[in-house]
Amino acid sequence: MSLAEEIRRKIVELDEPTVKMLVDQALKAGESPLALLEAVREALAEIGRLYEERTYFLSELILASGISQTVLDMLTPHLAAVHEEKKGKVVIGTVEGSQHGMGKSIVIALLLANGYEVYDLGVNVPAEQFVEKLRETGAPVLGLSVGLVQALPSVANVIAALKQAGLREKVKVILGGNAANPERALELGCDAYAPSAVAGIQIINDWTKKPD
Amino acid sequence: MTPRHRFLAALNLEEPDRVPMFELEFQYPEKITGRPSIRGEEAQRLLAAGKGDEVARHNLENQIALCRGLGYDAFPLGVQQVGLARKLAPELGLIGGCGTVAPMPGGMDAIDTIRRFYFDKDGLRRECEERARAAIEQCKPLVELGVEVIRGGMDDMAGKEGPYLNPRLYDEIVFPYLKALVDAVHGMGGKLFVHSDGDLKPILEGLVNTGIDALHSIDPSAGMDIGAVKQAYGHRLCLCGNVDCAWTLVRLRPEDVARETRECIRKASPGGGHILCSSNVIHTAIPLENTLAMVETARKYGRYPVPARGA
Repeated sequence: MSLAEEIRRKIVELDEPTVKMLVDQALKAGESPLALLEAVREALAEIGRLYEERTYFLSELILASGISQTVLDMLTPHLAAVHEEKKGKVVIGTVEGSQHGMGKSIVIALLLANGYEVYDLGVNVPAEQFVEKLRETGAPVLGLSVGLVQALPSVANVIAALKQAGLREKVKVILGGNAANPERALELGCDAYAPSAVAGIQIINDWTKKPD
Repeated sequence: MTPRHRFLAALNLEEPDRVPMFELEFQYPEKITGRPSIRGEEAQRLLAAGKGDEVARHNLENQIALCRGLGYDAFPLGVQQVGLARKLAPELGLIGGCGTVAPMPGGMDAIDTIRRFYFDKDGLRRECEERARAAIEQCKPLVELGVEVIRGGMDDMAGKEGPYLNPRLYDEIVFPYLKALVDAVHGMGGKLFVHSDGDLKPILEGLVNTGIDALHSIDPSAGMDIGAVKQAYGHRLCLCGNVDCAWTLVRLRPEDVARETRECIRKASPGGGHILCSSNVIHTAIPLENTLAMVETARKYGRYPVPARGA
């Protein structure tokens, strides 16, 4: 079994200490960082499948994304010279007034597994911060999460801020979270509602699909 | 039958005269009582001026007026307020509170908490043991003072997509400490209920096996069906729920609220062991007429014997 394959397997098993050791060993042995990156992607895709079939739960999904981030941090200096095409950029955060971060964490893990570059702004994020990050990154997709009904007006505030900044036509907005639903998302000015993390990724994949 | 006895009967899985009601929180008491509770900056200012007792008494009186105004049978309060509450409103049920026995992932540090469940189980168990011990200490005076039930042990354990942790981790780490707390509270002669949002189905069996007396709030927005929970566990624990406060109460008309409330009663109330509540709290985005529609429907259709759904 190659080191990359062993790393993939250990990420799926969530054996973080062994993953770190193997990545270090692989880099010292001159393994291609791109091959290791591919192993991370394959592992996350496998974990996404295990999550969908409910063999794995949220804790495994988030832990796997954390392990993957650790590996990516180890690989980054070695990838500097290598051009690596991402599927697209997504800015994501929980709107002001809502501290709920778990649903967002699932979406982030699945976005990473799908090859997206993700900019997570955290929870309780003011509208201006979303605008600032979208300007800085040029991301065409904004994911908003809202866990409290009382925080729904904050979603409208983000949409208004995007319009004011002249970004609304350039950015697709998807809303998720317990407090919203499809009708409410459209009323608030979003482009789509994600009833689940997996459905949300499918919508984003459709938006970012490059023409054949 | 007094509200307190009605509330207690439901907790004992018996049929009272009508389905009891309460809310974990009611964010606009002034719309019922005519005066707001003292909160936030004003409360801080009065506390700093040494008027903490006045604030506590004002808010307690307001809670009592709210319960009497709406026909709620019980309300949550702090341990320091129990004695006065008994004097001012001996007819109402009282709900105490204690801490949780295990940390749950949430917010920005979710991954650090999750890592502990995988890589620091011994340290986590030590923390859970300490938390359980502290919670037991919090429950002792509450039981001695005679509150009807204590809310705590665990709080939100799941989101819309399912439990935060693999069910195996609840069984292995969380639930043994929750059971220890429940056993201790039962040993004192008290009762304990757990509140959690989210889809609890994968961990419900383990949670019920801890011996908790009631479960709040059987979150419909996460696909929890109170009728299914009643059928599977209604003989083992009291169900508190679950008129949807994320959608129905917020967005729909009073007649829709009435329909859902009636449906909830028909699913969960027959045979007793049901306390009607919203699926979380009565918050400021809920129109007053919808809150009133829920209460009026419960008064109209919640009289025992309640016919089962389809009967």
